[in-house]
Amino acid sequence: MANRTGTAQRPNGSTQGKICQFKLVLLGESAVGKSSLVLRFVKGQFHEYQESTIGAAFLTQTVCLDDTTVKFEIWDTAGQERYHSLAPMYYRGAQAAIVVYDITNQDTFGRAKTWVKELQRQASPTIVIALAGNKQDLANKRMVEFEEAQTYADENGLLFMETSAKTAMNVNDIFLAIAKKLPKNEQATAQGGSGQGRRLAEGDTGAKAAGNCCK
Amino acid sequence: MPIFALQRSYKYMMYATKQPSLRINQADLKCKNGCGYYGNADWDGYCSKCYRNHMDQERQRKARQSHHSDQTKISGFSKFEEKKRQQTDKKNKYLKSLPVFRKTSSVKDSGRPERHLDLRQANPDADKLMAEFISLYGVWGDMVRRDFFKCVQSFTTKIYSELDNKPIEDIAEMAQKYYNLYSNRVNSTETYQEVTTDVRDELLDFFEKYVMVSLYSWLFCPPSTNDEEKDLIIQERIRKLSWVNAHHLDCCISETSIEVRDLVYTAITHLLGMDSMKAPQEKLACVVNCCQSVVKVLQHCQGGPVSADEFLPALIFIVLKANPARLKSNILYVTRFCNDSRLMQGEAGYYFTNLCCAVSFIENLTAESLNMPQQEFEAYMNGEITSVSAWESALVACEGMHQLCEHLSLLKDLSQRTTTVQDETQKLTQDILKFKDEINEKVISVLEKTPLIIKPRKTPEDLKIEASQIAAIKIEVEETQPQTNFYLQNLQIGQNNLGENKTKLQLDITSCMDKQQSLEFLSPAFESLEGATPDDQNSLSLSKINYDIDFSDLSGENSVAELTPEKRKSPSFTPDPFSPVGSSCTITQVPLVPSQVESDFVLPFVEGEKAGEETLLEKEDEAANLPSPIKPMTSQYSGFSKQGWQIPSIPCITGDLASSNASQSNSQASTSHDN
Repeated sequence: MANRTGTAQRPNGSTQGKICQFKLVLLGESAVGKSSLVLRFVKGQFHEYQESTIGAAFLTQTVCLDDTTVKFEIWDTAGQERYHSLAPMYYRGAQAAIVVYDITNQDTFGRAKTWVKELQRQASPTIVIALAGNKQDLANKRMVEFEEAQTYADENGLLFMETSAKTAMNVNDIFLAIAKKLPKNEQATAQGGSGQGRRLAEGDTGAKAAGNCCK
Repeated sequence: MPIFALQRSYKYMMYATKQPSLRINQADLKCKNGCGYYGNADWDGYCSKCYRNHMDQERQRKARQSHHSDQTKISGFSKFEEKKRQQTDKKNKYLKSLPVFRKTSSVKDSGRPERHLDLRQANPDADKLMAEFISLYGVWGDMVRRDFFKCVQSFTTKIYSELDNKPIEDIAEMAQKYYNLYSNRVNSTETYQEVTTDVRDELLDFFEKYVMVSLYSWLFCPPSTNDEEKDLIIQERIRKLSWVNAHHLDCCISETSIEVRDLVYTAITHLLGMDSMKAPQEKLACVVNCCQSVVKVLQHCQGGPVSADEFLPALIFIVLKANPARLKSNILYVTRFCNDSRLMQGEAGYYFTNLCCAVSFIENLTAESLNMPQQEFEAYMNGEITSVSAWESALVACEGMHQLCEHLSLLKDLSQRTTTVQDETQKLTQDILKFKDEINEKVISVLEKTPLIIKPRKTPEDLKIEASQIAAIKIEVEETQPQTNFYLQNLQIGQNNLGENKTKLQLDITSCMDKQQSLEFLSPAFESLEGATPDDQNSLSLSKINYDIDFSDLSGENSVAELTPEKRKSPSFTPDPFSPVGSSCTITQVPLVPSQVESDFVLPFVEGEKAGEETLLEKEDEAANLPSPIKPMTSQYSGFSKQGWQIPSIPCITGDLASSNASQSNSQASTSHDN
């Protein structure tokens, strides 16, 4: 497949370890620390990051896992309620998603649950979903109990960790856990399928938009 | 669909009129049907007869086709779509009645590919790309080039042949399949074996670019769709929403900063530029450039990394202010014909998704999504309320207004600068004052520490005392010269005993007086000093000791006396009094003396005199052998006055007394000590 950002894919045919590229979407209420989490992950530990660093909205990071190299392409989403309806455009074709909430804010946990539900219903069925309770460093102001979130995650088959972008706690771990869980061999088919899904969905929204305008 | 052909031929004519020199040759002038007659551009290149036949056929075909397409469209689209289609058909029918837009192809199957080739050659962009290809990838050999153009040819032919029969979504699907096919071909066939992986990717890109540029006229905003109407709807929608500003969207774009405004203009320019590009990746590049400018704007406004929470509202704002032409068509074109992998991944994909989101948000924008009351929203939408801000007028209103606003912001900036300059000036003034004070203080403190003022005072004072002593001695000398001659030898030795100070002062005085009084003249003074003490020569050594003791004794009573030994130690007085150098040194100092001597002359010596008197009174008998001080005093006094430089008369008197008394007392003291 033609790919402009295909540096990661090029060595696929060579004898080196596999390189898999995954699209990861960040979901969650605004101000729960989505971008801080990613910035910590992308710039905190690894230094080979070469691309332009002007924005935290779109970032890439490579993780080495045994014999495979996993390249994450992280798409940040606007967390405000008013942009909620646009989220499907972002998570369409994504192989992984991190739903972030703030452990000091019960509302954000409620929103996270809605995101999870929506992802399970609308996103690719193979999508790996991780739940991240961010701002663990403010545990003394905790409003969401660890057990509560853990139980919820277990029930829904989610990866769960409490993280802190400030102290870097569990930040790399959660990305590594996702990388482990992602299917490494079905990458090509997953991409093809997602592409198909994108166009159909795009047509849907177009029709819907037109319908709205007509009213 | 008939309208395709209409547009196609219309565009063909456009090219024909634009670049006649390139295109018209003998063959082109002939009727397209090959009947041998000359054709006419107005008749789509046919001769009049063929054109009429062709039109008849066309009309029949159109009738058939429109019926067919109605059926397919109804099945595939919503009721709204159906309505739109019917409207389009009506339009088509209306257009059909106009002869200028008549369809050109006479025989569908044979005619189209032939014309297709013509059109491809006529496309100046395709020509340019061909040249570009050869310059870029010519090095990889003829095989690559031939294969590339073979694939391009097959792609364009295939797509073109399907244009009329399939909905645009299917054609997009076909295009994607072709991209994949060519990708596989490049990566697996022997033809491309020598090509490096980087160049392979470039080739794929170029393939996409080439075919899309070639087919742009048909694939962009195809008449089979209602893209154009969507464009108009969104354009109208954005126009209605022109009152929406950054505050409504909660995005922190500062409206007054010129740099921010420049960046916003850059972003808008990039977004508008999307319409002028033909290849999907070029359009995508425009979107990426636009979004990067938006990120820069945000970075400028808020600092720190820009997250999606801020980015999306800002992009929406930019789209609202830019109101790009054919926005929807462009988005749909890119969505359909851009290589999927590019849209699904990478920065370009992300930013394009954001653009789609922004457009979708604008389409579905309600009062709720702006967090404002329904009534207010409607009032804005109906134009009942108009928001006026510098920003709005800069982006929306006329040039004059725009300039006005820019000037206002410039003025604001200037006034800010002026105030800062003023502040700085004040600060500077304060600093200067402070500095001045500091310097003053320092100077004062330094002056306080500095002995410069005191030194010149002390030195002459000392000299005065000495001078007065010497003067007195000298007077004595003049009187008692015969006696003193007797002691000359002793005196010369005694001079050794005297402090350097004294001898030097003697020298000073002598020189001051401008009299060539040698040491011989002075010697009697010392003689008189020691005269009282020992007639016996044994006391010479003692006299030395006595002197020291005398002074120390005096120092106990008299502060002035104390100065003398101190002065002896000071470096200026060190030179040996007998050496010519030392005397010459002291002589140079002399001029200082006379003027200052006068006032200070008396006091210290009066005390000394008194002290001397007391001792004198006690030991009158011993002092009897000395000449009476009174007699020479008068005579000497007149002598001094003659000299004219020593003004006060008093010092002379006292000095006279003092000298004699002191010498006596000194000698007495020494003797007493001896005893």
